[in-house]
Amino acid sequence: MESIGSLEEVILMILIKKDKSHGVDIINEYESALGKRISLPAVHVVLKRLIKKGWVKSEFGEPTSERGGRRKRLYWASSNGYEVVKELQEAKMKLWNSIAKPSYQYVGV
Amino acid sequence: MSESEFPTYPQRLLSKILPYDTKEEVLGDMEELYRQRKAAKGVAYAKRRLFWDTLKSVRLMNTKEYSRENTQWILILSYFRTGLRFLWKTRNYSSINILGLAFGITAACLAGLFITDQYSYDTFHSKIDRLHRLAMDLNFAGDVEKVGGSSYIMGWEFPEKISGIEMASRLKSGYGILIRDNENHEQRFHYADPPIFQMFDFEWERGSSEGFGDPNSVVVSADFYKKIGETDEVKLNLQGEDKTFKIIGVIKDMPMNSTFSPNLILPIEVWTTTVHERRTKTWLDINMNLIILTRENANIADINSQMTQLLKEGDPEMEIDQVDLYLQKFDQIHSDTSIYTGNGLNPTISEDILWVVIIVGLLCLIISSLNYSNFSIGHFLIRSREVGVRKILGARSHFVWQQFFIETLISSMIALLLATVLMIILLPYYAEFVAVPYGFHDLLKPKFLFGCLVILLVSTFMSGTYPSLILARFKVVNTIKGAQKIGGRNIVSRIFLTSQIGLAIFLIIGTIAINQQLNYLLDFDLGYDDQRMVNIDIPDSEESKIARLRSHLSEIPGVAGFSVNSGFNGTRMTGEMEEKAGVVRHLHVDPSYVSFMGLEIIKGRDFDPELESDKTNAVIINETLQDILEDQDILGKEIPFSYGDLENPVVIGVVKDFFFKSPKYEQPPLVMYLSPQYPFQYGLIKMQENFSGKHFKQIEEAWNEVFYPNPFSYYWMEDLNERRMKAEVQIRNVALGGAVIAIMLVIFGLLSILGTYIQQRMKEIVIRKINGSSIRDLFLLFSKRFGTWLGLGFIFGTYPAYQVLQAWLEEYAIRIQMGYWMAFVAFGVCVLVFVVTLVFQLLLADRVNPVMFLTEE
Repeated sequence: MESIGSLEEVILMILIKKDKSHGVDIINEYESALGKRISLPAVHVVLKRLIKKGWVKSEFGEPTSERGGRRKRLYWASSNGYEVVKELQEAKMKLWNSIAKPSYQYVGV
Repeated sequence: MSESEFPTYPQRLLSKILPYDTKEEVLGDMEELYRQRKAAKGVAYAKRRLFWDTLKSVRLMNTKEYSRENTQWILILSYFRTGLRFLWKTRNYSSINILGLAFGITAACLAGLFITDQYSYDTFHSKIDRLHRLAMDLNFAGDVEKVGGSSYIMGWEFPEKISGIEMASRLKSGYGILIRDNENHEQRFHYADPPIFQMFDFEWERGSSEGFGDPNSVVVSADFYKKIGETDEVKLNLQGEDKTFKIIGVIKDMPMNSTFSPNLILPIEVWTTTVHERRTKTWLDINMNLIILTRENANIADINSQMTQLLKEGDPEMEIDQVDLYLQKFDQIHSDTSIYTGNGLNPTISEDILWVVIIVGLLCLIISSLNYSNFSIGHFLIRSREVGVRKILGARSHFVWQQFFIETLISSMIALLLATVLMIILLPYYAEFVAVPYGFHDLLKPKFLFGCLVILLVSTFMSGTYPSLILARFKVVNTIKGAQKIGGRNIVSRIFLTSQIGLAIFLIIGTIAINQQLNYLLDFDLGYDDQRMVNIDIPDSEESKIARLRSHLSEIPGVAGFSVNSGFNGTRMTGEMEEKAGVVRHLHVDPSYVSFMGLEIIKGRDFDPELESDKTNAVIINETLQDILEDQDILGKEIPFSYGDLENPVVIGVVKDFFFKSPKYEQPPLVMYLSPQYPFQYGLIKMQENFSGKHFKQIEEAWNEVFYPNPFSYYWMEDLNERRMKAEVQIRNVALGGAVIAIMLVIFGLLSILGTYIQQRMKEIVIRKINGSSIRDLFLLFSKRFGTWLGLGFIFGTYPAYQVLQAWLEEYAIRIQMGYWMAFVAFGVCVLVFVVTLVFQLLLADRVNPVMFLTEE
C-alpha cells in the first residue's frame, strides 16, 4: 500500500466529507476546520498526488464569472480513498484508546 | 466589483510556466479566493495572500497536465479500435494477408517445435553438463576414423587413475534370446557398471539399484516389466546358455528425447564371463561405450591428454599410428553423425536436418513478413489522408509510428490465433512427416509457448517497422492534397517482391536438387539387384546345418536362390600396402555368391567349387582395390593381404564395384574368398517374382527346423538400402514442405501487391480501356513493369541456391550435377504464379464500370 502524508490525509478527509468540491472549497474547509492557513499551490500539489495514487478523481466543472471565466476542477474521493482513510483512522483510534488518559473517576470495588 | 480589480501579474507570470489545464484551474481558484478574502478581510490581506500563493505556484511548474496522466492507455485503446476498424474496412485483402502471415507463423512455430525438441535431448539429466562419452580419433596414416567407443580395460583404468573423473560406467549393448512361455524372442539389452545409476537420472518405479553388480541381478524398464507380465525373474539365453536373472529394480521409461533408453540393464560382469579373458585386457578392443562423469570444474583437455597418455603406456606396441582419446559431451551424441558409434548410443538425427528446418522456418517467416510489409505500404494512399489529418491535429510522428505498430501487432495476434488452429490441425501430419511422435501436450510446453511469443514479436517487428516508419514520416501538405509521391515506396515494395521471389526460387531449386539427389541415390545401380532379396541370420555356421537349410529352401517354389556370407569385416593390407590401402573389407562367401548377386566380372573368372586351390588360396577383388594396387594385370598375382590362414592369396577375378555400403560414401576396397577364415553369419534369399506369403512362411519353418531355438529374424535388402537414406528422406520432406508453404506465401504476396497496384491505377486502366486497350495489351504493359524485378529475384535466388547445394552435394560420393534446368523450372513456377495472378487481377479490373473511377473527383 502506498504511504499517505498527513496533509494528504486531511485533504482526503475533507473530500470524503464534502463530496465534489474545487480548490477554493477545500482551502476554506481546511482553514475553518484546523484554524491554520494553507497556500493554494500546496493544496494543488497534494491533490495531484492523491489523483496519481487513485484515491481522488476529478473533472472540469462550469466556468463562472468570479473566476474570470475560468473553469473549476471538481474533486471527489474514490472508494479506494475512503477505505484508506477509514483504515487509518481506525488504527489511530485504537492506538489513542490504548493510551492511559488522566482520569479523576475512580473505578473499583 | 469590477473584474479589473484582480491583479494581472499572476496571469502574466504563471501562464508561461504552468501546464495549460493546471493554469486554468489555479488561476481560477486564485481569483475566486482573492474576491472572497477581499470581501472578508480587506484588500491588503487578499493581496498579501495572493502574492505568496503566486510565488509558491512556481512549484507546480513541473507537474503534468491532468489530461495526460492516463493518456497512454487511452491512446493505445484507440489505436486498437482504429486498427480493427481498418482491418474490417479492407477485410478482403486483410484476410489474405493475415492468412499468409498465419502460414508463415505456423511454419516457424512447427520448425521451432522441432528445434526445441531436438535441442532438449538428454537435458533432463541433472548432471548432463558433466556427462561425457569417450570417443577417439584413430589415425591410419592420415586417414582419420572417428569412433565413439571404449575397451573394457579403459573403463577400468581411467576412473581409477585420472583424478578429474568422478565416476564412470561402461555401457555395452548385447542381445540374447528372451525365453518365456515357450515363446522365444530376440532381446536387446545393455551391460553396465553400477555407477550408471548415479550418473543418469532414473526414476524408480519399484526396487532400487541396490545389489546391482551381482551377476544374477537385472534392472528393467517399466515397459519391459509389463511386457513380461510383472514377474520377478527374466530368463535369457546368452551365447547358447540359459540364465536366470533376478529383477532388483524397475525404472520408469525414459522420455522420448533420450539417447539412452534401456530395456534391460545387466551387470557388465555377465559379459566378461562369456568372453575370453584377453578381451578384457586388450587396450584397443573397442567394443563398448564408456560414460564418464567429470568432477566439477575439471579440465577436460587435461583429462583428454591423461587418457591418451595412459593408452600409450598400456599398449606401447600399438598398431595404429596415432590415437587421440577425448570426451564427447553426452548431449551431443544424438545429433553428431560424424562419430561412428554403436552399443545403444546412436545419433538419431543429423545436424544437416536441424539446419534445413531452421532455414526453412526462418525463410517462411521472412517471406510472410515481407508480404505483410508490402500490403501495409500498398495501403499507403488509403491511410495517408488519415495520417495527414492526425498530424495536423497535433499527433507527433512517434504516435503515428506507435499506432501502426499496434495495428501490425493486432494482425500478428490474429495470425497467431489462426496459426494455433492450423497447428492443431496439422500436428498429426507434421509428426508423421518428421517422424517424431508429437502430441498436443507438446504445444503447451512453456518453452514452446515462449518460442511462439518470440516468433510473434519478431514477425510484428519485421512486418511493421518499415511501413510504420514510412507512414510516420511523410509530408502533411502532400497527403492532404492527395499528391503524396509514391516513387519511394514503389522501389521498396518491389525490392520486397524481388527478395520474396528470390527466396521462393531458392527453396524451389533446393527442393528439386534434394529430391533429384535422393532419387538418384535410391535408384542408383548398386551393382546388384536388391529387389526381392531377404537377409536372414545364420546363428550357426556349421556346414551340415547350412546344407540342410539350403536343401529345404530349394524345395520352396517361391525361392529363386540362396547364398551365405560372413558379413563385411575389415582389416589392413600387409607390407607397403598397409598405409596406402587403408582398411580393406573382406568377405567370406560361398561359391555361388558372385553369380547370386549378379556381380559383373570384368576380369578373370568366378570361383570354381571344383578347384581345390580356389577353396584355400584364391580371392576375387573389386575394382577399387585393383586401382589402389595400381596393377592392371593383377590376375594370377599374389596380393599383400592376410587374414587368419589366408596369406598372400592369388587374385582370380576382378568384379565391378558394387555398393555394399550406403552409396553416400566411397566404396572401400574389397576382398572375397572361399577359405573359411570367418564364420558365415548371414544368408541371402532371392525370391521369385511371383512369390507369396505362404512361401515366406515356409522359409521360416525351414529355418526353424534347422536353427531352433534361435528366433528367426530377417530384413529385406531394399528396406535396408532405404533406411540408409532416412536422413535424406527427412531433409527432402522438410524442404518440400517448406517450398510448398513458400510458394503459397509468394502467391499471397503477389495477390496483394498486384491487387493494390492495380487498384491504385484503376483510372489509368479504365482510360486505356476506353481508348481501346484489350486485356492482352494491359497484361503486356504490366508484365513489362514487373519483368525486371522478377528477373532480379531470379538471380538473387539462383546464385546462393547453387552455391549452397553444390557444397551439400560435395558430401556424397555419388551425386547429381546441378543442371540449369532446375533454375528454369523454379523460374517457370514463379512466372506462372505471376502471370496467373496478374491475369486474375486484370480480369477483376475489367469487370468494373469505368464511370465509377472517372467520376470520383
